[in-house]
Amino acid sequence: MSKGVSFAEVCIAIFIIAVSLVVFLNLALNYLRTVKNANELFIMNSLAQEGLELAIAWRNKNVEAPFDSSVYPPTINGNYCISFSGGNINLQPSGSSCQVSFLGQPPNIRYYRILNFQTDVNNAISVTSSVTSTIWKSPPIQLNTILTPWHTVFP
Amino acid sequence: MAYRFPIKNKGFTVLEMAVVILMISFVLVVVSNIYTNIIRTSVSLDRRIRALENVNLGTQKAWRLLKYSWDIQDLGNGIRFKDDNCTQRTIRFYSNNILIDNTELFDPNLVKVNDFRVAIDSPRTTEQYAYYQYAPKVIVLYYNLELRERVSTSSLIFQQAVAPLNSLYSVNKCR
Repeated sequence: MSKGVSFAEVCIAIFIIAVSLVVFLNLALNYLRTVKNANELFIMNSLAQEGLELAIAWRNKNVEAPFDSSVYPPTINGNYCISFSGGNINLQPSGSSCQVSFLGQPPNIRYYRILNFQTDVNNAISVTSSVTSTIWKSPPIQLNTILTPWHTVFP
Repeated sequence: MAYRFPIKNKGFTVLEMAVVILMISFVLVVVSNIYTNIIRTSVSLDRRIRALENVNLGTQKAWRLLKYSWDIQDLGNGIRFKDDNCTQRTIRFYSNNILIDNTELFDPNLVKVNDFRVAIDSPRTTEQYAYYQYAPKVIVLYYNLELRERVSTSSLIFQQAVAPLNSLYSVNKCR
């Protein structure tokens, strides 16, 4: 009676061990990727939200005028890049996304943002802020808000 | 004539046993090494997720406070303002954390703050008859953080902007 282990049995055993190891490693890698994505998502969401807040502030800036000036709600359509520097909100029309620069960002990752403005007949402006990065392979992160025509509030 | 049992060679030689034990121990070393590394990475990533959630919670708190703020003053590495109840509040960088008044914004076991800066926009007019003429329309917060993992740390640098809702009022209710 042959009591030894055949070559085929050894191969099957090694195959099973290898498969279980690969599955194990894959799980760990997926988890690592998810966490890395969470970091990236957090930064991109912050930048998209920052774009919307700057757009709200840009609309609100129009009320800062001497009392005798006439101020109208802004009408705007198309794609724009928005940034904040030197105490000013800069809005520039653009055909493509613009790089977002902030202090201390990692040199190997670049973030890009573009804002789309659509003004409707009631002067409400729909704003979509889209952000992507050089290491982000999925569709851009998009946040949307509606800016109603500004008005000062008299309590 | 005495019956003789057939002798079967049922045992293993020392060499066979040695080879098998060597192979098993080799597999065990490799597998346990991989397993330990996976567990270590998993614990480390768990901490990073917890740190990220802590940052998310903290920045949302700062955002909400500033969204309803009045009388905003830029302190460079912090900001002084009045909340919706007209109580004086301060958000400032202090000792590797951000303090809201005297309360730490982030859990120091999970997050270390390397730098925190604030910038506000400049008004377009020098007139100050109405609050909306001089109230800041945007506050930009710059965070340079380190998420503390089990043995190492990972950096998280980002900006947050807040457009205060009260900046369109004509009268400053807190003055």
